[in-house]
Amino acid sequence: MGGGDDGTESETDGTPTEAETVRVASGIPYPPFEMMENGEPTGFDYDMGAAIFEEQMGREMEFLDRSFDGIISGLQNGNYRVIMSAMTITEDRKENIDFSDPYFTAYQTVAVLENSDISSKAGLRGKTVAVQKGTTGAEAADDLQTEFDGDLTVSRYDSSASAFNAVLNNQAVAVINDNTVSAEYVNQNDEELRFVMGDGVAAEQRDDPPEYLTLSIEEYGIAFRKDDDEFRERINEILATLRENGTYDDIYSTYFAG
Amino acid sequence: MNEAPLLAFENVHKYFGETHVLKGIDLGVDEGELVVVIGPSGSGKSTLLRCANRLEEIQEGEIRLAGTPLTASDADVNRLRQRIGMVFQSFNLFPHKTAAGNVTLAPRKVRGIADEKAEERAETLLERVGLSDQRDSYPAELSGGQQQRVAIARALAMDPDVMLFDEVTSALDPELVGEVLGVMRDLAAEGMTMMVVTHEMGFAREVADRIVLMADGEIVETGEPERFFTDPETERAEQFLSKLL
Amino acid sequence: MSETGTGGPIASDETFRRLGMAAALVVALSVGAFLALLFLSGHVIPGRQLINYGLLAELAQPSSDYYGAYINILQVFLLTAVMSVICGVFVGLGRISKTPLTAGIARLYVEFFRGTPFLFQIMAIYYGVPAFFEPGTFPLTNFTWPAAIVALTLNHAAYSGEALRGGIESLPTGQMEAARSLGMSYVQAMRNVVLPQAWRNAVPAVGNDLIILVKDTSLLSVIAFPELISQFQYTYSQQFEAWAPLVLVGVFYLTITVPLSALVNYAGEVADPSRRAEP
Repeated sequence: MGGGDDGTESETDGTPTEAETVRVASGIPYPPFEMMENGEPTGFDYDMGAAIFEEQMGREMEFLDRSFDGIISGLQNGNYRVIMSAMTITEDRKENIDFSDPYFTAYQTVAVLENSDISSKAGLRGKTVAVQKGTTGAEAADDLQTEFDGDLTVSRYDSSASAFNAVLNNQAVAVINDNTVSAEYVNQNDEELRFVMGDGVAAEQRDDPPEYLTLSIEEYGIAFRKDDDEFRERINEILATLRENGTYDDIYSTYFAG
Repeated sequence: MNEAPLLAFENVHKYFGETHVLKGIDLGVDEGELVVVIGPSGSGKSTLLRCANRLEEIQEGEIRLAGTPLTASDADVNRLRQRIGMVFQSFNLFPHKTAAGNVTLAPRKVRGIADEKAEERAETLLERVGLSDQRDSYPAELSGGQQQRVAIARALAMDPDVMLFDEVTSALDPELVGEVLGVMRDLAAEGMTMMVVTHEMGFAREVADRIVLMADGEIVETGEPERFFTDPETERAEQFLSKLL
Repeated sequence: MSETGTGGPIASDETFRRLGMAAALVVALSVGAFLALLFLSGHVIPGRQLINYGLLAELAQPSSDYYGAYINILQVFLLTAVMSVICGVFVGLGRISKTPLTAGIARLYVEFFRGTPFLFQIMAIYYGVPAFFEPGTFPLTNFTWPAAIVALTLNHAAYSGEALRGGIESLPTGQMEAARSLGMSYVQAMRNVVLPQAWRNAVPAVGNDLIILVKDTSLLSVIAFPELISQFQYTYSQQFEAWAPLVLVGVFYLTITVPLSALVNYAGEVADPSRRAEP
């Protein structure tokens, strides 16, 4: 634990001041990472944020709902300190922002109707897939479109729910999205939806690949401004601590099966 | 004339809401006759005229055109109206049509008369009202008197059996009244059956076959113009005439 | 006393004129300064180029997806402009109907489509209608276009219907009476006398609505309709560049609305009100 260093004067008077509140931006809803429950934010990212900023740092956390497709500029403009929004660490994004060490690994998966005849990546050729705007799933779909020489239509929706609805409503044959988010929908609608199975990039890169087809692997990180190194390193230490002391596993099992 | 009147009003009652505006009117207009209806404003004379064209519905009684009841609920209003020409105080020319366009519209659309034939007929009619040089003018380009003469030509284009004139000179500048009355005089001379509501007593006296004086929704007195204007029978008529002087 | 005011709280005409001119000038200068800052930001603030001209050039290339989006909104606009005006005629006729049932239904229609946001209507159609079907059984597999066309038509028919109703009601009743007195049926009188004139009266309002229709296509982004705003969002989330795609999208919209507005003004002048007869 990295307690007792600079910036923790609050331990003396007990009540954190306004200045020490950490403003965290998140693109709600993106269950189970971030969603609203009885008017309060919750989810994996929220609980992680609470563990990091409140439990470990003794600060207040303000968990803000921001549209995902503009969330990075808000960070750059100083509207909040960090982003915790199931954000994949990418080289593109790294040009503008910094990331913490990965705190989650996600796979881009393909979810289809239960009675769909699509059983492999190749089966998507010439079809329409639904994605959520601005997500890595949308990027995976773009990559697939390139791979198919443009023979794939990508419908971009504002939310993951709309993307799944598009499949249920016959507007697209598949949703390309994070495994965790898709698992939520597939588990909730297991009569109607299923994952496309098979090996994918995960099998090439991991020892224990999941059963479903994986289009890409991503690691999620907490996003920081480029000039916020000290804070970022501090959080990295805390992330390590949370993995060691079991807090991470507790939070993980709250939201994800297995 | 021994036959039944061309246009017959029988016990006609009309209400506007609670107001009883026509209180049992009995009146017949014979073929070729020119009846002038006069009376103070609010006497119901314009309403009577509008009822004859079913622009207003009556609540009791009957109006017949050549024996055909036009106030019956199953009457073919569109067909009957073709036989009754109407000229309004406010002209009501179609502003988006030329003078000729105003005259030809109904014959073309209602009767299905070919454009060329309708044009020829319009030419004749506009000449008859003295406006052959204005056939391509739009209403806004015409004086009030000219507009009203086009309106008369427009009504004549349907070859009506009877013409109704509803205070057709009331909206005109005094110097323009004469040209419209002149056209009406010509029409009367040609034997057109006419029912005219007007305040032009000179015209009434000179041209009418019969004067009808209305007051408070009733016919007060009818008679030959000469006799009516010089020796009215009723006190109400005397009163009305004295106010004109 | 030839003066307009006698020292009241409101400025004299001359002062008012000067104030107006000054205000307009301030606005114009501010906008000019803003645009100069925006377009020349690289020169004004070293190292802070607001518009990435390289990206703008790239996005403006003929192969860019922006043209596809532009063509899409042009098509959906042209189609729904025609359809909504045609449907609007029937809505307008329904609104002025003397038959209580017809008038009532027309009124409810207008109240609903003017009284709920277009965003609500498009979502109700795109997400709501397929919900009547079992998952995976909805027969229209490319519902985005039909939903967009139906929603825009239903919505704007309400507005053009009201515009036309206004046009009809502003005509003197004598027009209908004169037409009927000549033996025309209601339909003949409407078609030949009332509607041609009402249409002229309604041109400015209908034209205004058509301009709004162009802009309403942006709301189709919520049903994954490939239009300009979605395209902007895509570029923005990919490149973290706001102004290059914004400038392009703004220009695209204006290439439709500016000529359209000129057309509407021209149509309004052709429908010269001076041709209307004095009563």
